[in-house]
Amino acid sequence: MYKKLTGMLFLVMVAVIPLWLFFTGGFWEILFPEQKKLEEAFAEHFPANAFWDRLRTGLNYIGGSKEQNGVFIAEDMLMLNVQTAGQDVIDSNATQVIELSLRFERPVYLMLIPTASGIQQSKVPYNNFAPLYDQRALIDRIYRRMAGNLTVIDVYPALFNHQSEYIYYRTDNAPTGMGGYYIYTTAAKKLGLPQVRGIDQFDVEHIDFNYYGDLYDLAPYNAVPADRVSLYHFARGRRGYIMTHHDNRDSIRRYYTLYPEYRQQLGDSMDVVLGGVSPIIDIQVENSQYNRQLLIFGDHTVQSYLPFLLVHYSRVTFVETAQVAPELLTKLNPWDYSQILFAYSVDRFVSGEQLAALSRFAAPTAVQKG
Amino acid sequence: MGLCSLSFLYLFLPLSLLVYWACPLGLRPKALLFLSFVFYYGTEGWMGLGLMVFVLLSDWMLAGRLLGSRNAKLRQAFVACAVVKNIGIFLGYHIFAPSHIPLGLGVYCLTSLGYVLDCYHGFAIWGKDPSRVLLMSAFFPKLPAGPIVYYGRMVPQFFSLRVTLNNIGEGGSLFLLGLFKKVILGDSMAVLFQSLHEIPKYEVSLLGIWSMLVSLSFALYFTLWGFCQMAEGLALMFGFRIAENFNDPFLSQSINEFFGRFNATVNRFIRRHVYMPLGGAKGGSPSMVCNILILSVCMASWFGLRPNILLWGIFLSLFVMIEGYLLPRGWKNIASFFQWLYCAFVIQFSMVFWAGDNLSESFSYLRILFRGASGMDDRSIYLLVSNYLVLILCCLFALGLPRKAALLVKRIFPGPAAIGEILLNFLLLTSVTAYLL
Repeated sequence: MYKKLTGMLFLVMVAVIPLWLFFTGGFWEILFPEQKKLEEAFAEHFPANAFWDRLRTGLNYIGGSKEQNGVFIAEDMLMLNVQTAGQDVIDSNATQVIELSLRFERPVYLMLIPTASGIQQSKVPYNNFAPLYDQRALIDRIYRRMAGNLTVIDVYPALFNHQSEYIYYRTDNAPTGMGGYYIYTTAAKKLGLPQVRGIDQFDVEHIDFNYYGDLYDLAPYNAVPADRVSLYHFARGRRGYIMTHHDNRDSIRRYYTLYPEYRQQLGDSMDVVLGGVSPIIDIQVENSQYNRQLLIFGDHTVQSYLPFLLVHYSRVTFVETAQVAPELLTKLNPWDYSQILFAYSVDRFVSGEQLAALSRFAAPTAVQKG
Repeated sequence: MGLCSLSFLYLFLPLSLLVYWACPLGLRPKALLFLSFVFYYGTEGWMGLGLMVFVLLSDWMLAGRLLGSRNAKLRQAFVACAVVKNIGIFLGYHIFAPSHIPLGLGVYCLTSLGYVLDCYHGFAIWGKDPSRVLLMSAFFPKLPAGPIVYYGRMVPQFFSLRVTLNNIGEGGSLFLLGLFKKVILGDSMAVLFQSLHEIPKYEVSLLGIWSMLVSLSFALYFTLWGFCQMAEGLALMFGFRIAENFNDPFLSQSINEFFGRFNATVNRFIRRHVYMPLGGAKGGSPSMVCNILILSVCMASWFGLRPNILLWGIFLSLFVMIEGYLLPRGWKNIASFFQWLYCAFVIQFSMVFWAGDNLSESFSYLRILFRGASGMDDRSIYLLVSNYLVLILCCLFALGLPRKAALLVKRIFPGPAAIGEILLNFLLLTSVTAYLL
């Protein structure tokens, strides 16, 4: 009797998925997939894909595996396990920063921003044994190499001293607005900006309390709470912004705000902050009492600190060096800027060539020098 | 499409059972053969299917000619022809195209060859309808890892292939348990082995090397055992039983016993058709030593013709000889725990030959083991704690404890045990699905 019941339930269990696929129309697409293998087509049409991903991550976690797809699963947050592509890549990036700084003949700065696993090491699972990349040592080594060539901005201590605060997104590999503020306070001093603004001079607007970033896609662990996305508006003095995004197809998007909130409707709350990340973002600040221009070569972490830095500049141009097409750079003249900042997250700096696209900048001509 | 895939689990299996169930009793062997060919085509394509059909049909024809002939030499010639053809194809692929070996090549070549040899010895008969003989070799669930089956045990069952809910229940439970062992235990251990293997030699510790050897032995065992148990379960669902291929090999108390418990049907095949005809343990010491070496090398070559694996076979055969002929007779009287400990140590140690990608790498691991290295390293500890639950489960299953516990619970509380089995099936299917997706 029990065996019969077991048999019946087994048949129900293995039949329920094909029946579901049959009635939802996916069955025939699986049997006759177009340009796909059977297994791929099956996985694509399988019901409740996200549920199975979460279940697998949860089972792995219970089994002791607190790292999945290169992401550490801490108790309340996810952290990228920084992996280096090799010393050659790090050396190449460092060399290119030095070479470019010599070409530009402008005050040049380098800022390496540690990731959450570098600052909040105590949260990393099995942190006594975990294969953690020593970000502090890397930053020290690179900065020593830069000595005499450019100014380095060490944001590690500022972030480390505030590690108990909400300075990194729990589900994304990026500093939060708060983390960005601490980066700004250190950077502003090194960049020689007068009057570093207190956080109280910024109005905070929370636009999303249910944000899940890229790390969550890699390790969808249920117990990690959602993130909060906040916007920081400078409250002293009215400023107008003309923010132009250039993409590699040479099309542009223009906004008259730092935070085009309608983009939240398109899906990703982080796309509201500076309108997302594009190969080139050019921001003109109207009514600024300063006449400084800043050129930033960097990565996505710019979304955290740039809203604060903008207070001190009349124009800031950001170049996402990993995304930008060399042709797009023909429109950019580094000699138009008073300061140039290279700002990278440590994981980006050690995991791949970041500055290859900039090699087209030749020695400045007299015209370029202005 | 493999046995461990979503398309098999949720598409091929239910559809196959439906088609099979709908067939009249007499047509079921043909239907199952057709399903096996469809499965094989889905896995290996027309070329692979063509090769399999050629091997099986030619053996069936050779067997027919063999049984029809009264000339002893001609009969021997037919047998030699089958041996050369099947072993030639098997070795040819392993030597000349090791990366393109068709699924189940060894299983169907040996099963089919076994049929010809059984016909020669008078243990099997020939019929005009080849479907049952072909099905014995081509039955799709046993292609990935066996077992090797015999005419006498299999073909008589094909005359009454009944699909019952009892069989589906029992077979389904076995199949899901096998799938769990392969997908969760075997694959996790394979990943752990790979991670430990990637630790540079100058950094690896003794803990790292031993963990690597243990994880490799578990990966191998649970992958093969999982496949065999899935085959057992599926066979039961289709209405017949096939032999067990693994019988708690990690409980063995000698290497000789280990060979009899690990991949048992292959061992039986080689003993029956190679070891015994060569004289087995009879004759003088040189012949005995030679026979044991041949047996071990044949056992090892089942897994491939890499020098490392052949050396693994030779290494274990040395212990078979030591156990049989050098140790004093009284050694069997020492506590069985110590015998088990000795056997477990030798088995795990022998994995050093599997662990290396080539002989020099295996020897470099041996050098580290003998010359010494640091006791432990952070990377190995991290990998071990990250897999602690799977490691515990592997140890428990390797010691046969879950099966013993299940039998005990079934005897004392049959009702709750049956409900527990249903729940367990659901949990196994859910967790395996999550890992397959």
